[in-house]
This record gives sequence, structure tokens and C-alpha cells, in this order.
Amino acid sequence: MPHSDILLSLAALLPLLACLLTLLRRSKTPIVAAYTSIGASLMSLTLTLLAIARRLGRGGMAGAIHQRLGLFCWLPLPGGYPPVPHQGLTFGLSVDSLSLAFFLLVLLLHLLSGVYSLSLLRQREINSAYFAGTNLFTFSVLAMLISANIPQLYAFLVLAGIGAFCAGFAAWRPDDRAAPRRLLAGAIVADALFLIGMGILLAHGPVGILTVRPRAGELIVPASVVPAVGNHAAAYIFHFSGPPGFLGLGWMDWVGICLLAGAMARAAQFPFHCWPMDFLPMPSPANALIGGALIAVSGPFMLARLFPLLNLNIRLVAAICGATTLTIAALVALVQTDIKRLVAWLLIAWTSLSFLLLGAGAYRVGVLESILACLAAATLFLVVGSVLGAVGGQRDIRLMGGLWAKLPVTAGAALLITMSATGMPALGGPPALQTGLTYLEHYASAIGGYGRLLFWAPVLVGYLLPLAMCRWWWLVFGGRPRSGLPAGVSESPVRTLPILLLTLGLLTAQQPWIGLTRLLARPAPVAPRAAIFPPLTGTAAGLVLAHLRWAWLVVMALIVAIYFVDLRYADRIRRFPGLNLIHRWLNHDMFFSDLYTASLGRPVRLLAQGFAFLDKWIVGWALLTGALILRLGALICAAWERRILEFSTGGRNPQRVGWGVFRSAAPGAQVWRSLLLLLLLIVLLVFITVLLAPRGWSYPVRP
Amino acid sequence: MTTYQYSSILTCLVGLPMVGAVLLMLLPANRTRLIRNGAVTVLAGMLAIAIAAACLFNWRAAPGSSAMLQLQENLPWIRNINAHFHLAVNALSLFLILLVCGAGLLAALTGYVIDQQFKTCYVMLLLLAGTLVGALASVDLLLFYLFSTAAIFPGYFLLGLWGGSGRRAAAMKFGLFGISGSIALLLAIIAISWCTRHSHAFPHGTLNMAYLTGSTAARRLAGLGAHSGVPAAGFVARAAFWLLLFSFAARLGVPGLHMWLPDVVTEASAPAVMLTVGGNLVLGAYGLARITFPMFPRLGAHNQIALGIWAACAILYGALCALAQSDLRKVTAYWLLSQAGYILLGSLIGAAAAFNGAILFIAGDLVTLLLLLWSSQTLERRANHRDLNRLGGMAQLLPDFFCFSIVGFLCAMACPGLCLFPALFLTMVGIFSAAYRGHLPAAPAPGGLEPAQWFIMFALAAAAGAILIAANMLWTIERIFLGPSRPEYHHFAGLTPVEKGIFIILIAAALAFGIIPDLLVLAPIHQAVQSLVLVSSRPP
Repeated sequence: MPHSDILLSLAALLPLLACLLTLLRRSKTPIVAAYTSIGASLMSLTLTLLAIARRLGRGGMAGAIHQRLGLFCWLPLPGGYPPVPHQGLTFGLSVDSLSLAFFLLVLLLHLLSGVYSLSLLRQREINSAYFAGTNLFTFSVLAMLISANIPQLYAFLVLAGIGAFCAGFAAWRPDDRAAPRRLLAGAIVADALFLIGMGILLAHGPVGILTVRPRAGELIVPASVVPAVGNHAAAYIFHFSGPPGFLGLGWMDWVGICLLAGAMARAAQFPFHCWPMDFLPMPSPANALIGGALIAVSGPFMLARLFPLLNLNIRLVAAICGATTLTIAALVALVQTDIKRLVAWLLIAWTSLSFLLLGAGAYRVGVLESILACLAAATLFLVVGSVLGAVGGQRDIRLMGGLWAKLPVTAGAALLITMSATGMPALGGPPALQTGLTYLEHYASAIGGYGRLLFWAPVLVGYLLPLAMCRWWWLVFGGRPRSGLPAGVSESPVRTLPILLLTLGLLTAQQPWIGLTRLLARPAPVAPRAAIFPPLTGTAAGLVLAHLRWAWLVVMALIVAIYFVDLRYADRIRRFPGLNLIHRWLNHDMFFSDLYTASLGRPVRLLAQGFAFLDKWIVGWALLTGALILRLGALICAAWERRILEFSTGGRNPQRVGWGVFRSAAPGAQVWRSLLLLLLLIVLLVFITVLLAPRGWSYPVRP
Repeated sequence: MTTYQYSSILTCLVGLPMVGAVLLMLLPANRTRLIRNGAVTVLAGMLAIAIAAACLFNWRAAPGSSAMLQLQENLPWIRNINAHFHLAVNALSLFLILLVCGAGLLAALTGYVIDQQFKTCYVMLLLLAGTLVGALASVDLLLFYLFSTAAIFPGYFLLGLWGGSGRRAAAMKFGLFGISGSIALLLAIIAISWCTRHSHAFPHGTLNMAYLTGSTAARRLAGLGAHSGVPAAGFVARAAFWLLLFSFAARLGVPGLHMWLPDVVTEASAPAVMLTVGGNLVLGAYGLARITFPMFPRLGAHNQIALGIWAACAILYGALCALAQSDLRKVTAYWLLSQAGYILLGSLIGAAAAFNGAILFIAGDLVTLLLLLWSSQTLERRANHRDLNRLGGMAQLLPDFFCFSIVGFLCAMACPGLCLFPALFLTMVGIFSAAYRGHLPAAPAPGGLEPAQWFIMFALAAAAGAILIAANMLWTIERIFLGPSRPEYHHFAGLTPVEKGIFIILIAAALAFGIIPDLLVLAPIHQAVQSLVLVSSRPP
């Protein structure tokens, strides 16, 4: 086992150790749990940096990027008929640049959210269980990132969901105890689909098809995938759907749909996009950690890992889902007034952009976009935590304002993130978006027809999201306070330091001198794509990009125009006939939750009630009827027996005849007598036979 | 590696609880501690002997060879029908014996919750454990019948003497279904004996399970109607198959023959349910996987689609019924019904992966059942009820209990890393393997669908069942642990060391079966599974 892998394994295990230590010392003060968590994440971070340094020392990240290691056989998979020799799915470790980058990112998030959590200890918003949950969550995500195969990845992803559930456990509102169920319901459906996908895949391919095997060469792999994907064991199915099978789709299509569902559920993509609203009652650092590491990292990472297993049809599905979610999220974010919901929708929108790009084949841009989404959303959630602390928990942004003076550092960081996300060139915003849009324009024009929406949807959103973000910033920090602020509001270093570090990370991640952006600077491998898509020639794309670059100025002007007079114009616009209905529709998240409840939850409950009724009354009554018939028969027989006995005993009491002589006055004596008899019989049968019989006797051998 | 072909260790294993029961009966009833410790010691001794047998066992015996059956004790019993007192184990039965011994020990450890007539309780537990182990170690069908029927009576008394108000009715149902199953088993044995006596393969007749499920013999038995020339032989073989299926499905509690299970799980005391229901689960699944399908491979294959539909309906029926329950024990009972469907499905598919999945389902279901039962027992002892609608907020009141018991619910949801996930995963893989590249049954499939399409439907039903179960368990967690805590529960005491200890043992088992299933279960039983699958999957 290479030393760097040992270091990474230890780095992943340390949060688990912290979780166990916290659980063992649960009754102690939460401050111990907090420092245990921070210490573990610091050590993990150090070990990870050491591992990266060792890899770099061995010839750079590109040279020693892939390591695969099997620890033990987890599940044997004798594939079908005839049973093949014992082979199995190995529980192990697989590391490449993608996993290392995300590994580092998640550890950084864990550390900074842990530091931020220290500020919540005094307010008793969190307890030891919170730290145990976050540690379990971080361990699961880290282990998922370095998983050797897809089932292992899936297992840790489910564990991450449970960790998230535990982290926010103390935070669920007593009056909304269904929140965790809603939180996990979509993931359960997606997990079942994922299981089906893995089953179909294993039925068709060798066990190795599920292994994260980064080495190239043994299979014919599209060249566009090779430099971008760290996993192309099964890339030969790039164009392959399989013969038409169930419902006219090839088996590879079904595999793709099922596997994609797992990634989409984690990344909160349509139709699994409702659950993030149910993790918002958690404390803000938990929102930052879970939102960043689960939605923005795990979902796109899973898609990136599954990338070689998805053929072009399924990638198109991913792109369509990404575009749909992007549009929904941007529209809904535009009208949100709950500060946490607004940030959650922004996070969904950014993640869906990453999904759209990945689906369109812009692998590296998609990955970079997910890193940016993670950093931006985590920072905004921490900012939200500071804001909520300042305004006493009030989440309606219409009642805020004027916090710039009270929280200058936080407001500044939020402004920088807003500027960066709206595309301000000096802050490094445009590269990812512009390169991504170039890809998308290329992709959409190749598809043609309605496929062009895959390009125009992000262009539209490119205007909507900055509008929503600027509105958010202005209402929270700008202008004058719209309601009274509590006295003594100030910033503490424990809160501002993580926010500043994350902001710095976000801004620098996009700078040209950082390796992440250099990934984008590489020439795109267009050779195999050229066979599929025509080359990029359109001038429309350049026009749009040129407009988008300066869109933030227009948006800012618009925002200021609308909001500088305390929402009066916005309210008037909202009151227009028709617009109020649209506003209501968007404000309720397009009623998707209600739709799911009405179309899935209620019918299933009704069906369950029907089956329970069937089981209780119909099956039960059938049994009872049978028993009654038997009882009736027994009574008839007993009456007949009594007559016979009376006849045979000459009219004496039949209870004194026959079995009556065995009756005893002591209760339970009959039971004991029967038992003793049975026991004696068995003991006699077993022992006497064994003792008396000749030893070594066996059946004669038959040919 | 040395193979211990003959040994008396299994006789000791079966005899120990019987002797222990006799000795306990001789003790005065007021010596509570002595009786309890004595019973626990005997059951721990059983487990120790089972582990010793596992150490003596050669797990690498080649499939199909005579060395598959080890630690034999073989004595003539009834010469006329060639019945023998033949105890022996293969890898599968030895693994199940280990499971039953473990469950027996845990049931005895939890027996302290019974506060009256405890001597009778422990005697019954010992008798039940002994008879269950005897049935699993039996190679002769008649001996198997004897032990499995004998297991009904201690179970009946355990269920009827301790528990809720409806325990007697529950015990009656258990007894009736158990006896019906036993009679069916006896009739099947008579039919098999008759068949083998008239076949060319067994001129003197045999009830030896190893011969009857061996590849050649099984093929001849399966093709009896075609080869023997005896009128009605085919009908008798078919009758034997269906009778065996009825008998073991009733034991397993597959929906349709499940009417005893909800009442028993709801009304009886936790230790009684642990061993009675757990033991019946093991015995029923063992009967299906080891006896019914390998003994009649052609009939199994011929009826694969019909049985698969039954199993799929069972999965969905149990999961849906569980969703409508408000009693924690009833949720457990209907969850178990659903699991019975999974076991049936895994056993009948005939693919090695599905068969492995069925075996893992047995182990996982047993551990999960014990965890859920212990959770409900712990809760009931404090709240005096199990009505989920009247619970809530327990996570704040009993954080330790929450931490431990949530593992049971996660197990039931087939959460990865815990015991039921490998089972579900392998079953799904097995079904798809059979659908896409398996030897599908040649018999016409109903409904105008191809057999492969039916298999895909089974897989979808299994996945839908998993979704429903997971949703139900989440809802159950929500009703017990979340929401505001009620003032009337604020006085609840924390978990006792014994309660915690039992939870820890069960959680460790759940984790072990989930993380290293290959090392603990699948690799040891690999050869036995290969041999059974070879027989089941290649009918003549």
C-alpha cells in the first residue's frame, strides 16, 4: 500500500474516530466535541496535504494520479449461469485528481464549518450529537470520494445521508417532524433505482465494470473522455444502448437512467429537487457543510464517476434535467423572501449548471463549476448564519436591511461572492461560465430544434441569478433597517474567519494561476467530438457571451432601481393581475412538494390502508370462518361422542370415564405431564439409539 | 485440511439443551438466579459446541463430493422405510445452526423481562433451541420431521403463556399453522418415500436428504413420472413438491399462509418471539432452499414464474400492510412478511447470486428482527404501550435508546453497511442475471410476457418493496423519535447496562454481516451453495 494511500485512509477515518469519541462522551460538554471535531479535521487536512505532496514529489499530479487498492472482498458476484469461479467486488481505495480535489474541499468545509460552530455553542443551538453527525457525514463523503467501485461509492453516499440526518437531528422543528422523511424520501427512490441499475449492469458485464479503474488502454475509449475522466473502465459503451428491451429502450439506457437517478437525487436535480428545503432548519454551519459537500460535491462527483457508463442518450437526459432544474431554481429564487431558502435555491441552480455542463460533455468545466458552487453556497450559508444571529432568527429578508453597518466584514464577503457569481471580470467569475456556455452552444446546435433550449436556458438564468443575488444582498445589507435590530450586534472572528477564508478560496479558485483554471485553459479534445457535433462557428454565442460579461452592470442598475425605495415598486409589480398568481406559484416552489404528496404519498397511503383492511378483515374473517366451521364440527362430534359414551356407560357421567381419570386438580399439571413425556421420548430417542448402535455405521456407498 | 466425516459433536449439541431442560425442571422454582444462569450457561454451551463444530468442519470440501456432509452420526432407525438417525451438517446448515444458537443465547439473555413462571420459560427455550438445532442437523427427512414438529410445542407454550391479552389466540394460530405444515411435511415425506421406493434410483427407498438433493438422484426423482413407468408417480412427486412448499412457506410466514405471524409477533413476549419466530424463519427458509427446490428442480423451474409472482406479491403485500400499522410490533411483523417474500424469491431464482442473497436475508432478517423486537420491548417497558401515534420526542428523552435502536430501523431499510444490504443487492443481481443470461424456464409464462420480462418485473417488485419498507421505517422513526416530547414520558429512565449490552451485540452482528458478508457467510458456504445451485438450476 503506497504511503500516500495510507495517509488518505487515515485522513478519511479520523472524522469517524472523532464521531465515535463524541458518542462515547456524549454526556460531556459540547465544547469538547467541537474541539475534537476541529482537531480531527485539522489532522485530516494535514495528512491529505502530505499525501498530495508525496504524489507531487513522485512526478506530479498527472504522473501519479491513479491508485487503486483492494482491501478485502466485500461481495462475491458469481455472475449468472453457469456459476463462474469465485470472484468478487473488492472493498478498496481508488484515488485520482478528481477525488483528491474534492477530498481537500470537503475537509476544508468541515474544518471551517466546525470553527464557525464554536460561535453557536453559547447559544446552545447545537449539541454533541451535532458534532457526531457532522463527523459521520464527513467521513462518509470522504470515503465515498476515494471508493474503489460504484457499489462502495453508493454505500457511503447513503451513509452520508444518514450522517446529514443525524447532524440536523436536534434542529428539526417539533411541529414539523415529517421533515427528515421528506428529506430522505427522494433519496430512497433514487437509491432503489440505483440498485436496479447496478443489477442490470452486473447482469451484462463483468464485475470489473463497476470498478473505478482509471487505467486507460484496455478498452477503446473516446479520446474526449480520456484526459478528463479518471474512470473509463467501461467507456466502450459510450455510444452503446444495447438491443431494444424493456419499453423499447436498450439495457444500457436503463442502466444509465437508474444510475443517473442516484446522482440526481444527491445533487437535488429535477425531479428530486425538493429535499434541500427540508434541511434548512439545521444550523447554518450544517447547511454549509451538507449543502456544499452533499449537493454541490457528491452529486456532480457521482455523475463524473459514472460518466463513462452513461451513453450519449443518458448524458442528454442529465443535461435536460440540469437545464430544467436551473430554470426552476432561478425563477423560484427570484421571488424568495426566506433568506435560507433563497440561498438553497441558489445552490441548486449552481449545481444544476454543473450537471448541465457535465451532461453536455463539458467535463472539466462541470467539475470546476461544482467546486465553485460548493464554495459559494457554503460561504453564503455561513453569511446567513451571521445575519440570522444579528437579527434574532428572523428569516424574512423584507424585514432586514441596513446590516452593512453592523456586519461590515460579512457584508463585504457577501458582496464579493455576489459580484463574482454575477460575472464581474476582476473577480474571476466569467471563465467557467463562458467556457461552459461555449460548450453548451456547441452541444445545443448539434442537437438542433428544441435542443437549443439547453443553451438558451443558462443564458436566461445568467440574467436571473444575478438579479436574485443582488436583490438578496441589497435587501439584507443595503439601505436602512426595516425593523429594529437587537442591540449589541457585532462580528466575532470565529464567524468572520471561516467566511473570509471561503471567500478567498472562491475568488482564487478561478484565477489563472490556480491549477483549477489551468484545467480550463487546456485545449479541448475536439477530435472525437467533431464526428458528433459540428465545429463551433456561430456568432450568436460570442454575442451572448459579450453581453453576459457586462450583464452584472445592467442587473445591478435594475436592482438599485427597483429596491432603493424600500420595495415599493416591487410590491406594485407583484400586485398586477396575473403576476400575483405567478408570484404565488413561484413563491411556493411551483407546488412541487404538494404535487408529489398528492400524486405519490397519498395514493400509497390509501393503498396501504386498503391492504391492511384486506389483511385484517377479509383474511382474518376467512380464518375465523374456518375456525368456526371446525368448532361446529367439533361440537357435533362431541355431542355424538357424549351420546355414545352415555350409551356405552349405561348413563354414567362420561367425565369419569376414559380420559377423565387423568384429570388433576392442580392447574398446569397436564402441561407438565405432556412436556415431560415429550422430553423423555426425545431424550430416549436420541441417546439410547446413539449409545446402543454400532459406531461408524453409514450408508453403503452407491455408485 | 482434515475432514471429520464422523463425529458425535452434533449429538452432543442436540442433547445438551434436552439434558439442560431436564436439570432445570428438577430445580426449585424459587431459585430464579440459578435457573436463569443455568439456562444461559446451557445455551452458551450450545453456542460453544457449535463454534467447535465450525472449527472441526472442513469448509473447503468440493461441491457435490461426499465430503460436503461432515460430522456425521448415522444409525439405523426404522429399517422398513430405510430411515436413519442421521445427523450431519453441510456448510449451509452449520451456518444456520450457529445463527440459531446465537439467537437462543440472546433470547435467554433477554428472558429477564419475564417475571413469572420463568422456570417454564427457560425450559421451553432450551427445548426449542434443541429441537431447532436437531432439525437443522438432520439428514434423514423423517428425523427432520420429528425435530421440526417437536419444535412447535415449546414454541406454542412460549407464545401462549407469556405476552399480551391475545397471546392464547396467537399461540393457537401458531400451533394450528405449525401442525398443518407438519402434517403436510409428513405427507410429503411419505410421498417421497413411496416415489423413491418405486424409482430405479432407489430400489429400497430412501429418506436421505443428501441423496435426494444430489444432482443425479434429484434429476431422477424430478423426472420420476417420465422414467419409472409407475402410474401416478408424477402426480405423487408433484404432490410432494407442493406439500413441501406449503409446509415451509407456512413456517416462513409467506403471505397467504401468514395469518399466525402478525398475532404472534404482536402478542407474545420478546424472548419468545425471538426464538420462535426467528427459528421458524430459519427453518422455513432452510426447507425451501435446501430441501424443496433442490429436491424437485424440474418442478421448481416449471413453476418458477408462478412462485415468483407469489413472492413479488408477498413483498409488496407485506410492505404495504406495514405502512398502515400503528403498532411497532405489527410494523415488525408485516416487515417480516415482506422479507419472507424476498427469501422465497431468492431461493427459487436458481442463480448463485440470488441464492447467496437468500442466505444473507436469513441471517440479516434474524439480526434485524431481534433488534426491532428488543427496541419495541425496551420502549414498551417504559411507556407501557407500543402505539406509534402516542409516541414522539423519544430522541430527546432517551438519546442512548435512539442511537441504538435506529440501527435496527436502518437495518430494516437495507441500509448499506448493515446486514440486509448485501442480501438485497445480491438478490437483485441474481434476478437480473437470470433474466438476461440465465436458463429461463421453458414453461409458457402467463400474461403474454416473456419469462425474462417476468423476471424484470420481479426485480422491480423487489425494488418497490425496498422503497416502501424504507419509507415505512422512516415514518416509524419519525413517529417514535421526532416531534415534541410528551410530558408523561419525561420520567423515563435511561437504558440499563443489560439493555445496552444486548443492543451492542446485535449491532455488532448487523455491522459484521453488512461489512464482511463474504468473509463471514458467503465464502464459508460457497461450496454448499454451488452444489445446491448446480442442482436447482439445471433441471433435466
